[in-house]
Amino acid sequence: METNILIVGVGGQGVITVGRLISMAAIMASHNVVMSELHGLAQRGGSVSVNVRVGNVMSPLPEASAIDCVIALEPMEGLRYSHKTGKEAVFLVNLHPMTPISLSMQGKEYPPMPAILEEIGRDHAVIPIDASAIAHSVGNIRVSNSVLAGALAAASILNVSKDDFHVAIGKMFGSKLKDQNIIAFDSGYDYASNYMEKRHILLD
Amino acid sequence: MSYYDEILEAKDGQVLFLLGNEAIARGAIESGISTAATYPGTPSSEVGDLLYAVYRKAGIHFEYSVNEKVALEVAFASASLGLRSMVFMKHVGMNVAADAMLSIAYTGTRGGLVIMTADDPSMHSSQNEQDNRHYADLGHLPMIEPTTPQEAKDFLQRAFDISERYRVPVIFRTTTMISHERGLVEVSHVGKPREIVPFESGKAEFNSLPQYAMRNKKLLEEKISKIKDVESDRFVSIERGKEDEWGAIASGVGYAYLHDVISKHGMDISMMKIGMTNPLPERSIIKFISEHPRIIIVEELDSYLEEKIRALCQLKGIDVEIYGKMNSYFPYDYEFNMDVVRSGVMKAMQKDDTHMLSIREESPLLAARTPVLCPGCPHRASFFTVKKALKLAGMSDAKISSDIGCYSLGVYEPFDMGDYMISMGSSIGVASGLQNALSERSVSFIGDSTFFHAGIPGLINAKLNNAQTTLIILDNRITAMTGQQPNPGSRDPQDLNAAGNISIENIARGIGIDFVKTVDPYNIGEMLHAVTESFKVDGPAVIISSRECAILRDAKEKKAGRHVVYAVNVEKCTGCEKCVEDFACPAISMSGGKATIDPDQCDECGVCAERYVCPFQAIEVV
Repeated sequence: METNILIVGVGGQGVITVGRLISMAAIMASHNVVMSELHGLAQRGGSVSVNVRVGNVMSPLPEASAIDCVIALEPMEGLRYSHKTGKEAVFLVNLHPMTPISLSMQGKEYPPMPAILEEIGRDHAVIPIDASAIAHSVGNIRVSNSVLAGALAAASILNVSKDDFHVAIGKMFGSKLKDQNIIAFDSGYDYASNYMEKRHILLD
Repeated sequence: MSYYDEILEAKDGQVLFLLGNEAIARGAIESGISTAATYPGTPSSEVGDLLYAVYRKAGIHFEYSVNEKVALEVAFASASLGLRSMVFMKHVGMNVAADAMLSIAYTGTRGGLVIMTADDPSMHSSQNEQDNRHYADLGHLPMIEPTTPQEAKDFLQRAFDISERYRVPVIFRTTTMISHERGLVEVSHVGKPREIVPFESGKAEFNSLPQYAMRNKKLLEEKISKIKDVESDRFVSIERGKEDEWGAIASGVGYAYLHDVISKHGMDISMMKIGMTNPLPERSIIKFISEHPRIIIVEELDSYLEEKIRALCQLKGIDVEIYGKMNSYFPYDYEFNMDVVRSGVMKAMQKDDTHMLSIREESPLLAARTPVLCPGCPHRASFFTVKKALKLAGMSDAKISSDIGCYSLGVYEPFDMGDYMISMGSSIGVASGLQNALSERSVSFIGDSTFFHAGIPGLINAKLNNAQTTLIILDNRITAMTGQQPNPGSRDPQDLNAAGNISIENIARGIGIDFVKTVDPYNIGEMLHAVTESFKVDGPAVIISSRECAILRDAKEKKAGRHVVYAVNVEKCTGCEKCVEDFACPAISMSGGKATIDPDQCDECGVCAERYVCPFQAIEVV
């Protein structure tokens, strides 16, 4: 058995941190994990992607058709992978847009959020979540990554418990950040659970 | 304890989740290295990041050398005295080190000397995807390639053992996916450093005068021949299929793709992993091939293994069907993945590949997100200003020669600065050459670290030939693109005015450049004046655009608790779009016909508030 999670976003958002957090949680649950980090040219602002593979695997990259879940820290980055992943892939999408230079330079505005979600939803189950807003309410924009990890845990895509995630958060963050990240994780977990219950989204 | 300290302090038997490069650094410490030197280059940089963080505690000499050649010379010197030493670099860095490396191959070493190259198939952050396995042939050097982070650590130790035992430098080759892959790694105990081996005269051993080189060439051949006999087969592992018809041979990350494809799809193929790719384990290969009449060879980039294995089969008269690149089962270009490998294997076995994802059409809502200069990046201000200066001087058609670094991104719109970008330090040489042919003044850009690395000879040459060119040195006080490593101009990123920093301005003046001006790119007016003046100079002119990297500054401002909020005054903003069109900061975009600043992205540099960027002065501190 293997579970493949693709995390995408914009350089500087913490794509690698999300990948490491999910990996650590899976390791806490005694799974084997392989993660690959794709560093691009720039430090901040370009597209970044990370693959996390859980199970008895050796290859750092999955087959495109075998991706189970895409976590998009930025909506358009989610859309960028919508047509490149199998229809089984569930999309967790953070509703925090970052306008690419290619649009802003021409004075063009970011496409409407409902249109992006509809496009992704054409082929995939989508769980939209305003992780950045939740993170702001926790008091630290950086913890939006843990909100998304919470949503992933709620979607039961990985065989990893909430407790395992809490332990992983404790291992990865210092004492002050740890508490904020656990609140963020739980908020993300609750939000996604409620969302799926209301929409009757059942993921096996 | 910091993340890197935890890796250093980990005890024998502990399992860590390490990046391939971190596993290599840990492996170096376990091997008891005394010296490590590098010039940072993606995808090798994290080896140095870890060693730089812990070297004092680990009791080793670590240095960011001025370039890869010097780094190798430093490591070699230490190894010649019997101390285990390591040098690491990205694949193109090996071109720079090659002059020294191919002689050090002949002289050999006393202590273990490992030369690591991190190749970059698909050119994620490189100008080419050269296959550095050819350097093993060129130098007659042994080469070892790991497949997993665990092997990255374990094989490195074995590389040191072999280097020491046979007194020959060993090439340790990774690719991006090995260097940047995280996996579970069981560590062993930290090794003890070796003692210096005294000797009276090194000339017969370490002097490459022809008379000595003649002898050393023969010795090198003997070493390689022994390593082939004794060591190469020890790096082979085989997983057998049920039947003996199909066999597959792979190395490095190619084996990981092959392994997962075969196990996932239940294919009946025996797999052979080769960990030492020079000299090849010929005995094991011949045996494996003799047992399997159909052989698939999986390797990224060139047909390195395939050519050697085909030659071996011809030599030994083995009748076998080989499926590889040379008969088009696998591509020569770009990084592999499981889909590429599965597709090739299926084709060889004449089966339909039903697992390939049919790529659907991409959404029309998608917009490109090319890499961009960070918000607050001083290079953005420099490019903005130079573009303005060229326009004012009627030189908008001037050819622009750029170099390797974050500022390579100046080639993108709206700056469009980079007609040329070839290799480390090439900006100034190319700019001088252009001017000879075009008799128009040219402009070149180079970063501080790249200037030290290979730019200085170009500037000397420009002076010597009175080249009509303006060289803009973008001095952000750090080797930024590879992750904020120090360089000769700033030995300590936390203290930019540390004693001993080498002055770029003094170098330029020492070469005899008359026009040398240091400016602050955040002060657009000052820089505009200097650049415009430089265009009137006869001969080369140098402008040092000096301002620390935004990421460095950002961290310091945060630490100091300084925080300014810039926002657009919607009363003053006319919606002219000049800021987004000409300045292109990721933090500024248009919304409802007015410019708006994303406070989460804004770096608070304040350059957009200057009238050159916003003629209506609509961007204000609130």
